[in-house]
Amino acid sequence: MKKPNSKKKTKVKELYEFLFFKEARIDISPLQDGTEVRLIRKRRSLFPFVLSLITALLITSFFFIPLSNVNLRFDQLGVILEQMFTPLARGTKTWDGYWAYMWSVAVPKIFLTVEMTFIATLLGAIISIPLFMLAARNITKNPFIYQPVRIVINIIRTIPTFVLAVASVCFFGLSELAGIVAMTIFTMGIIFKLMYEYIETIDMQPFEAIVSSGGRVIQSSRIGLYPEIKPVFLSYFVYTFEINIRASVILGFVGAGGIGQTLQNVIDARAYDKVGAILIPLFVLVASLQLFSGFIQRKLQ
Amino acid sequence: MEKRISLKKEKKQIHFLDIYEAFDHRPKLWIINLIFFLIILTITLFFALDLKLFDPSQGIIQWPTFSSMIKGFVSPNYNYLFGLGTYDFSSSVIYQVLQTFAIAFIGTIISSIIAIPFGFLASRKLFKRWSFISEIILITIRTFPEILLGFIMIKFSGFGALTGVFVISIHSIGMIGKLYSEQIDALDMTPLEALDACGSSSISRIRLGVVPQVAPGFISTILYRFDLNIKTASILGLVGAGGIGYPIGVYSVGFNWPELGACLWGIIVLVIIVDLISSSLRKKLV
Repeated sequence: MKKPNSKKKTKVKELYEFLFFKEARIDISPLQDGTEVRLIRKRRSLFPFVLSLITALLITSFFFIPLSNVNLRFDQLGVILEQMFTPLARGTKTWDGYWAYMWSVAVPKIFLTVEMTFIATLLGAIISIPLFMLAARNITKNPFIYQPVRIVINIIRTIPTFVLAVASVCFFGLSELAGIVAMTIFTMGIIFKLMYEYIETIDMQPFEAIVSSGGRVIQSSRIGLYPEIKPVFLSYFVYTFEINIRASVILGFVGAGGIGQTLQNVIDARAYDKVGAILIPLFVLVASLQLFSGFIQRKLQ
Repeated sequence: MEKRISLKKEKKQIHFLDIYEAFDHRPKLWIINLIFFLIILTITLFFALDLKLFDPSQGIIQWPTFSSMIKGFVSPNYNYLFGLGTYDFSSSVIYQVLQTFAIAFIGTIISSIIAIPFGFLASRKLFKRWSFISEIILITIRTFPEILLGFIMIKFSGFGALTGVFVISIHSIGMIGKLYSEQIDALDMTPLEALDACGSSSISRIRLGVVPQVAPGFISTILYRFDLNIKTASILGLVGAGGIGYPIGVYSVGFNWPELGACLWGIIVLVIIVDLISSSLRKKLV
């Protein structure tokens, strides 16, 4: 069978068409006897290609994971859990000591972390306000302004928090300030992205009405934009606060203050019961914040 | 029905002569805003004083450390970065970065498979009030700090990348399962009813009624979580569960700036590449 419009094709193009397209024959003759056939190019399902790609990546990935001399010890899992939630001789010694450690060391340290996170989240949210106004396409009409702002902040946003923490520890020394600065930059990135994407979807008629009656951008965003984005902004604030509480545990491991630093000291001293005593209030805090954040998001949106 | 309406408290209607009078009687929102603002300001100042952020006794900014760190970042140890010279490939940054990628990739695939039953069990539409059991399990997994999970799993499978795979495949179930259950709740049941009316088997009902609706959302969830898992995998090294985190933890404490610079280059390049690929794929899907 000859193909109808047979043009000269290069080998690469032929291969591409073989991989991604298939030709379906459709009988369009009135008698349904196959005298008139139309060929239709249909896109081939990408599923087998994607599956083989994933399998290949998976096999390659296993080369980087050393599997020799690995022995799984299920009994050790029980041992460590028991050590974490009962007082140890090298840690808190008695149950009284365990609870005293939880209330007099772990809880104040966690409160300190909450303080750090609150300040950082507030600062980051405030810094992000002018930036997302500049990056929103429907407020800043000039692409020469909004594109550079977006590109720069999106690059900053992708840098992991703990890398930022390493850099700011070098800058501010081993202190809470380093953690606050790292979390501020991180928060700014998150709220920036969520907010400018939200602003691009909202109804711009109130804003335009005030612009057309002679308002400047700041005045018209005060009246036409602020009431609309306020609830969303607050819910994103709570959401980011919750993320930051979790991130602050990690920041301490590179020396940026907070509960993570205590945790690392305790792990180094092999006082596993203290780890458990820190874990319980931390778990309660994060779980309650998560429920609160979900509640706020459902309420406000 | 009428009774209910009549029981409702009627709002007092005030009629104004013109818009100027109405403008004078506008609600005093600024008082609420001021109180809110003052509360936030007080909390912030109290927290800042409690943290002793304004302590002038020690210098706030440490220029010598920072400048040496920047120097290390601008001219990293290339031998260490690419595994040349005295460093062999299995101790170079490239190997560590690829290991981080491998941990995140295997962990994401395992957890996305394990999360499917959890997601179905947590959907309110299918299991009504019994969904809360699975929901509680998912919240517990999600809330547990990943670094402490790593600390526990090290006792189980020893130091190394395999522990990282275990940690990520357990920790990601929480979020993936929750997002799965949200997408299952948004399922449109009419195609399923139509297939039922045609007399199709349960396998073909799942194949034709459920999978096409759910697949794009599931894949974009997995891609999103993979993006986050790259960051998690790079952190897990701090407690010894494989990946780039371990050398970063060691060198940042030991002030080895060129080596630290090489590690930071590796992790930043990896994260940016994965973020670009995953976000462009997600944009295509949705």
